[in-house]
Amino acid sequence: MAEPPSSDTVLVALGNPLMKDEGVAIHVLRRLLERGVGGVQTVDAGTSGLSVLHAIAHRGRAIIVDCAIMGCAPGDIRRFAPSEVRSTQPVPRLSTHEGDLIQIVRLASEIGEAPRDIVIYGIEPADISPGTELSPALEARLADYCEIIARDIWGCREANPGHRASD
Amino acid sequence: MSKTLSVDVHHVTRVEGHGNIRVRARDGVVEQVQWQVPEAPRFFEAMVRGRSWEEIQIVACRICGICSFAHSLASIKAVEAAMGVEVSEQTDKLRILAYGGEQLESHVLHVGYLVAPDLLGVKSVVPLASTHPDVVKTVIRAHRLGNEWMEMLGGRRTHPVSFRVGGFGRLPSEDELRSLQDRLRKAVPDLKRIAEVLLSLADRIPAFERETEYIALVHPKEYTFYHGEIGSTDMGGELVGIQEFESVVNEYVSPQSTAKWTRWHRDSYAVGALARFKLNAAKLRPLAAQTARMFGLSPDCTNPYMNSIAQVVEAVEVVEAGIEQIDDLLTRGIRPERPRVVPRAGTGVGCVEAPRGILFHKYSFDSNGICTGANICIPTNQNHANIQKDFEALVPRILDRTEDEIRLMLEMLVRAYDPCISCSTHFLRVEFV
Repeated sequence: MAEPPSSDTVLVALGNPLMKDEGVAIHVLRRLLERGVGGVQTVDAGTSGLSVLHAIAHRGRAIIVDCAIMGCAPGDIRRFAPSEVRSTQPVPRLSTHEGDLIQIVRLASEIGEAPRDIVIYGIEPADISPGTELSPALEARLADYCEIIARDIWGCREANPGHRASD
Repeated sequence: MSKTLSVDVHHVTRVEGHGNIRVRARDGVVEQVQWQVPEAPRFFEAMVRGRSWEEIQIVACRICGICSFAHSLASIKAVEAAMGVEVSEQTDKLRILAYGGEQLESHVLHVGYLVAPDLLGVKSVVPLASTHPDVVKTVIRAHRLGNEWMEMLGGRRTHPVSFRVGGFGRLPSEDELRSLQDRLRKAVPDLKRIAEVLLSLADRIPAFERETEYIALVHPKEYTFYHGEIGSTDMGGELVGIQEFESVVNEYVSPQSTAKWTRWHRDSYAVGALARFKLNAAKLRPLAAQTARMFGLSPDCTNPYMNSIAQVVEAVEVVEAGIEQIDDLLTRGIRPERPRVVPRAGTGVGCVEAPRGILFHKYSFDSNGICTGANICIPTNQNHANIQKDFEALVPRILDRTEDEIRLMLEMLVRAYDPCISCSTHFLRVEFV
């Protein structure tokens, strides 16, 4: 029996469900909410990247799900800590509308508000174009994404960060 | 002057090359100055066709993560206009109150996280957290208040779920309103502090003036973000109804941009906080008016860099207004009410002032309330031509400066407009280390 999540865990989904796979995290969150995420606060941060700063402030644990360009195969999901990646955003500064998630986590750390434990799930997109449906590649794996993240929320903290979670 | 210059700035404010700057000069003669927008169109207007009137706000609010209340309210107002829906005074007041939260959130975000680093000569707000921790924490507190203000009235900190055609899905309690009012009162010193810090850096704001047309909503009684008609600095006091917006924006295609450009009485016009200020300054509340005076900001200002200062003034205005609006709501008491809408065929226009300028939504519906057509005109597109004209005027004046200085001044100019070229995609881009 896995441990229940601590009450100060927050699950944050980022993305735009009008841009196909760019919104995969929102699809994941909706699916998880249907099956129940007791004990965990959930935040649909949409495309307001900088609101993540407030969503994770002073939490014990933050699990952030986002569409991510990682050089993996479309549909792959990877679990990593912010320290394990380097942002390759063409503009490595915070801009009004593009909150670079890695920078936001750095800012949260600088001001002493970062959770002790931050886990990011990146899902490699197949298609980022206008549309409200996921690409077939990601749609087929949506249940897997939910299962992997749900297992993590309910206590699989020994999981090896950085490994390909779907392997 | 014999200067030869080549400046190329890609990705000025966003990922994916959304906005580029290109300058070429040879032997002291400017050969090319361009503000380029290569961002791919998003087709949101096509996305709502065939959907029910009840779904329009749900789609529209996802157009932008920063202006999601603006798109929600403009779309809801348009649907209400098309369906002939009159909302209660309470709904009207609550929407206006809620919308203040987005203005505060967006303005503080822009000025505090983006403009301040420019003025302090660093690349982002992150290093400021160690060099200016108190200032950064003050900015974050004010930004957080905006976020939570939005969440309390919109049901979510972005992409609101409480707004409905005809009213609200969930009304705030009077206790929640009192709590918000208390926080707004406590935020006033934070906003004063932000204004003072910016004032201490004001000599780093470039002194660049250029006459142009400014367009914003105008209301006879209020410094407005929600009600009113279209005003212009080229029209004296004459106003145009929002239903006529297509004859105001006059969208056209420019070969250097995938976004449509606009023009009215001149070859470009500006929208945003400075435009609103120029057309509505006399109706500012006392503290906001005092903030404007601190910076010497007056309605005859034509310096686009001062748009950021006008945003600070507006941040103060919405907090002052919010405190008053909550008093008014509490005096009247919050009454339960249920939106009632009977769909019908029709066309409607909705207009609000998004944080970065006037925003228009227009929808047509058949008799079943199914959307048959849409037209959305966003403020950033209305500023593109004006940015180009600013570039053309500014570059010859600063050609004697270093390439780095020219690049920075042009980037700062674009950022002063607080552009939202495409806020619809926010994916991470990382490599593993």
